[in-house]
Amino acid sequence: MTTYQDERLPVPTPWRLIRELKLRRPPWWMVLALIVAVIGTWIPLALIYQARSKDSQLPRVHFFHDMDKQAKFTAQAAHPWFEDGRAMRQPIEGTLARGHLHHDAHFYDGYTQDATEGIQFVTALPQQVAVDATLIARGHDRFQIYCALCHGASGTGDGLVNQRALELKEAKWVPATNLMTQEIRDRAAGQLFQAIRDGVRNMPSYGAQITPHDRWAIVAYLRELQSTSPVAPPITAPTATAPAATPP
Amino acid sequence: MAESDESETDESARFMFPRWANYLFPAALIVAIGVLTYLPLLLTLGLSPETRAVGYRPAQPIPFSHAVHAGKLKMDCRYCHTTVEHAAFAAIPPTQTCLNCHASIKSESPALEPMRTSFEKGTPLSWIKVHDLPDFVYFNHSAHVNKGVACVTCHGQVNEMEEVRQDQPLSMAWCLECHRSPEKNLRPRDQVTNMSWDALAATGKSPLELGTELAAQYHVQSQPFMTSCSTCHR
Repeated sequence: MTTYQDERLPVPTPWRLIRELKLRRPPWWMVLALIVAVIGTWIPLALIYQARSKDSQLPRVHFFHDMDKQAKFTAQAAHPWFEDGRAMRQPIEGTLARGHLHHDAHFYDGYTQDATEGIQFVTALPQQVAVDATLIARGHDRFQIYCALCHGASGTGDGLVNQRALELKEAKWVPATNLMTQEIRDRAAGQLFQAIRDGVRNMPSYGAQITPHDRWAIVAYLRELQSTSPVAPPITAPTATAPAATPP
Repeated sequence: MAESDESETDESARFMFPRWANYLFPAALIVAIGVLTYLPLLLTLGLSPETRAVGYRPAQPIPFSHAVHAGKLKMDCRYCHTTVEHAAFAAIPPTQTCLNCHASIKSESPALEPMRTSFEKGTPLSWIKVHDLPDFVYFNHSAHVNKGVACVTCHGQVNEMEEVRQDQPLSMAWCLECHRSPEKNLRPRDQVTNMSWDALAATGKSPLELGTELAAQYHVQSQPFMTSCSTCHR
């Protein structure tokens, strides 16, 4: 048997060439399988890319659950044992935690009340609160968080939420009070404090959001702001706050 | 003549390795190397918190938009999340906080129906927790916020999110990255809730330079303490 290599001068007949090619190349299905396998490796990578670039409404996959979710009550978690579904329990009615008795009317209420004179707002800040730069800075900070939304950073009532409400023409919205008017300046410190705690007219109560000390800090800051800002004209009859839309 | 040649070689070819078989071994070697690099790559990428956890954006009972409240209206984070400065948990506000404004703004909106029901019946809204650490991690918001770690560092640009999504992996490796060298993530305490604060523009110092100063000023714990197991796991 003579092979291709044995011959000194192999004559490349068509048949010989075909046979030679067959020997060099693996069968077509093998080539195809390899190409499919290589392309197949891109599918999981593409899925990972998709998972990374797109948001998902499904929570993360936990492979190892060990102690990730423990049988304990966490803050503001739900729990089916209780009727209201909350794991965090309210204090029993008529009870107080230690140190939470608000017996100091001056500090906690801003007014004193007795049968003969009725409600008397305090005019000075309580003695627990020392008016210094730290307190004013704290008051400024808290004012920016809780008050400036409606009353504006300058206290003139131009806050973004107030503007938005006027823009939406909300019928129920009462425009935020300008805190720079003489009327507000004349109010007792205790009245301002009580307004923050319990709310006034449209303004809701901020007693739960702002601690008593911070409320006094805001009052102190407001006094500071008033003393450095021009007095705003008094609020007269309800004027059109936005340019009146003329009907077509 | 040609026909006899053909039949003879076909017979012998049955017992002969085809010529391509010479490449089988190197080819198999390349495939093996490929598989050995591909599988770890696949596992690492597929199991990483960046793939599994980042981008979690559950549908909430009310489509509350942080983009409107914290972005457009520039509400401070602490207006609602009041406990963040003095508690471990940054509280989800009570329904009463929503009603501070929504009693008169958009008070009839159908999207806010669950909120009104919640207030009338005194039942809490079931918000879905997005940033959920394992229960064996004792993360404390106040510790971070009071040392000058900003909200945006871990929660991303919430002021641009219509629906809150997880922006960072919140993995242990990610936590440790900062616990090993917190300086670059520190800023003055009063700028913690600022969503677009730039150290260089605000103070003229690089974040690292400013952070090193603040770390000393705020008594940020030493690296051995901050990378100790019991700092986060108890």
